[in-house]
Amino acid sequence: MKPGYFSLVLHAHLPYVRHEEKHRLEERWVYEAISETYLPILWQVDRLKRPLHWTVSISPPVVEMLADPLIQDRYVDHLDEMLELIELELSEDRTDAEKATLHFYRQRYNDLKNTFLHWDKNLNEAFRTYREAGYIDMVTCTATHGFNPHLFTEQAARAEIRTGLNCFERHYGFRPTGIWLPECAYTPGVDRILFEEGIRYTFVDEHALLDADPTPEKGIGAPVYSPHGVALFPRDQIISGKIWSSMIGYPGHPDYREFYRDLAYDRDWDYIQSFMHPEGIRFDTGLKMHRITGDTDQKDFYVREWAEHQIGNHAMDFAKTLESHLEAHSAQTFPPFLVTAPFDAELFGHWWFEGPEFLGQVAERLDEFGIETITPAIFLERHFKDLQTVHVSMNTWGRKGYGEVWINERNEWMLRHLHMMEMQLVKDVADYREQSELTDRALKQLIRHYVLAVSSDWAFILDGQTTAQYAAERFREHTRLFAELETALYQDSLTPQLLDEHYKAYPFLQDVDIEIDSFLAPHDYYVTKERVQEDPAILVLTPEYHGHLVGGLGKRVIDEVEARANEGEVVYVLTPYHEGLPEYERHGNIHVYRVRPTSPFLEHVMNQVATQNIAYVKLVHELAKRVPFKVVHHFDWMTIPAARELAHSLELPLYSTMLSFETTRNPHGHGGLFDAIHRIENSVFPVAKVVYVGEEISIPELKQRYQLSENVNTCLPLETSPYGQDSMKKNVK
Amino acid sequence: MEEKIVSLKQQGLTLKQIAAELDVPIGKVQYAWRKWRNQQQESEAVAPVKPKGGNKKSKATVETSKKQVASTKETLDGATSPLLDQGPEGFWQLPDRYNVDFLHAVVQSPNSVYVCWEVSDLVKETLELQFMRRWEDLPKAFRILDVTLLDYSSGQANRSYTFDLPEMTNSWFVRPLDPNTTYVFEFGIRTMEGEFLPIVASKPLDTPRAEPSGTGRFAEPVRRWQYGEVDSPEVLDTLPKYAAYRYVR
Repeated sequence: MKPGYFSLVLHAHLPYVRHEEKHRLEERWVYEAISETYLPILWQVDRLKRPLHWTVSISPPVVEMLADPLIQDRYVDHLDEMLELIELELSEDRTDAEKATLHFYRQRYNDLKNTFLHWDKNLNEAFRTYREAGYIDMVTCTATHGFNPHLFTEQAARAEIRTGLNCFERHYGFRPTGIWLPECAYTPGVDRILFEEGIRYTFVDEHALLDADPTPEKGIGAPVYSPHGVALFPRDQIISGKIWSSMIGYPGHPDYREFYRDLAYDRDWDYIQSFMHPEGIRFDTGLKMHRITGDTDQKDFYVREWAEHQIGNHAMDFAKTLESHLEAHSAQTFPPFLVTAPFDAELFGHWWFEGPEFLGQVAERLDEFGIETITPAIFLERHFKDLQTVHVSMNTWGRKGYGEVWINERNEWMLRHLHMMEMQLVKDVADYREQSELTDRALKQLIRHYVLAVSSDWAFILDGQTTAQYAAERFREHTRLFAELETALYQDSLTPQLLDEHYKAYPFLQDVDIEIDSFLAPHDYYVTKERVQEDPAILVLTPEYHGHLVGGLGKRVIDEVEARANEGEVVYVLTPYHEGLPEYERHGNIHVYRVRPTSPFLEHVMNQVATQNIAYVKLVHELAKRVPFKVVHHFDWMTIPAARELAHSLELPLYSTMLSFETTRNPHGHGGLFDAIHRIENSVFPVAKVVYVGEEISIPELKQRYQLSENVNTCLPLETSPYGQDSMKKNVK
Repeated sequence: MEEKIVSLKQQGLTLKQIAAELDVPIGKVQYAWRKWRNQQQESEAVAPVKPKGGNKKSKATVETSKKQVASTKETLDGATSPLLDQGPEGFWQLPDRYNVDFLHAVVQSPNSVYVCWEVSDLVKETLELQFMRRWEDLPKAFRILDVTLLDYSSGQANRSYTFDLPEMTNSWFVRPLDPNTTYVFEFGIRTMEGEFLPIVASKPLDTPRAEPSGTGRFAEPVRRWQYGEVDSPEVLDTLPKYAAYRYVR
């Protein structure tokens, strides 16, 4: 053997396009992939019958569709139709060249059918058998090919990864240690989740390593570890470009089959109609009778022997190219130079018709040349100690290498809805998990709807603008189903029938594959399950509390809060964050939240106050989902806007304590800020139930400066509750 | 104006048609309509409140004062999925807003980031109460902060750039940006003083590197983490765990 390795990786993926109704054009994507790629690749594996060290990644949607009896039976019908069409063609007056190709197709479609039936129509069995025989290795992908860098939560990424692995394991009987990241899209942090889910390697494009920090010593000649210890195998662009590029690569050779010219478009409608869509839509039959010919629209007929000849030439050329590439890097040791060549499986056969045979012949040539093929799994077993750890930034194998395909002006409209679904799932799981069998089923179904919506295929298709309507409709449909089911969950109107209907719409994944807790945050578990339920509480907003005593205000607030707590009341005190003090403290019945303003960057007092108030409002509305409040009590002018908003939106009585006023602090004040504060102070009188003012303040004098109503009182003694009826009960413990 | 909008909506006009009819921005129409609808929902709501998590305290407490059950609003809002929305013809449609506060940024390329955001009615109303001006009249703006190697919450930035936004904007492709830079993006308003007041902000986000870095700013943090010198990696994680009740302690 020569120094160096070659590792071939094939990723089979299609979106989940199974529809109960017949004649959906998208289902033909599956037929084409089976006929042109999956079966022909399996033929090569079967022909060679030895360890090839190919790694085949098969995505959960493909796994599920291959296992689906509906699709299996329809595929057999499809093959029969094709054979019928071929017979019809052969009965027509065709040229010798056409007839030769038709004979080739007749043999081929018979072979497809025989092989398919041999595996009981389930090609998962074929892949599984060859994997267990040691001919190929297998990995899978995330549940629906969601684009990791654009997910919002860890939970969504984890659900995609774990669900994908669960689904694969159910069909294949083992849990792979490698995974194909959709679109080879890496983002910092996804490696942490992968590692925690048992994944030890994945694939990235070569610039992920070339631009890593620090620059890897071996360049793309070896995988690297991400910060969390997942080995990243880089695509070698030079070597893979020989294969995938239709411009500089092999597939563009004039003798190969032309992809864009299908028999359906060369026949009269009356003739071909019975093989076309019942609604009169013409589509590709898969019988492509021409060869690429050259850069011309005048295509010549396909000559199978010529194509086969080229396969041999190109396999030899590839082996030679690889040999010299490995020789050029033969000095590399620890680990030896590795060329990783990951591809979309559908490139071979579907786009490049002769691709599978090329791969088979390459395997033979590499053997003869003494070039060692290896799987990433074996490579890691041998060389795990020799890999460098680096930081890899976000990147993909898509156009221009980053996220432009999956977020642009054509598909950006989907993102906020996907993020909303993620946030809802986290909340729903926290609120409803383990309530009943029915709610758990509903949560799993919601996750199913979400993963079907988050498939990267919809964004990809919208970017390409072919079948864009289908992609947009699918996205909308899954979102609508999510919305309807979530509503049923909220309204307690779940029934087994409803859940069955939702499942049947897209019977993707089984419930055992979906783990509700992949969406659970430990903190939410604490809040919903362990946090003590409290009596209705008093909400206090104050600019000062503890450790920051200026003047009398802070002391008054503390005294009042403690007096109420001593009476058994639960009190939530919200006050600005103060450096050196904890953001949250609890003393008996008193909860103190020191709240950071929504921005630390402001200069003007009024704006600082505004960001503090926004922060209060956001916090209280979340708190109110768990804590019942009975009154809002604010201190000082700064908290008035938040207190007013909260009293209004939560429908709570508002109490106000104003120990001083801008006009009493600053009797000769004027100017913008003075006026603004004065206006805010004035705004509390009409809405507060009672406004308590400092003892030294003369209410008649105040009347001259503010529009007081009858609800103004001097502060009560501490031992008297300021809330009157609203304090209702003494929560004696 | 709000009454007019509600009246036209009740007559069956679409929000778009109303905006055209009254010659006002559609955002204003949407805002008014939703505000009214929410108010209606709240006042019509008599539905028995099912306290989540089973608050088993005395029934009398709930009955003596409905107002004190602060969860009322939540339960009513929660009665339908936020993703459930109806178009003018009565069919489901993607909601045009969710009435929540967020700003999310995702990487498009080393030089561009996509940002989308929303501001809730609560926050809008709080600002109205703060500045005594209607939300529509507060000028909207966007700020890009370069916080590379800085802590955003400390209030420091290497540089910043603020630009005004048209009313009703809720997403932006921010470009051109620099590769290998940590950014925070903020949506907000310009106050009377001309100061930018952020309302929602993204988490810090790294733009990808676009060229070989040699030994850059990540090399040392990665080494420290690799050799166990720190408890957690000192680099950004783009997929942090999200908690629905993150503020509740």
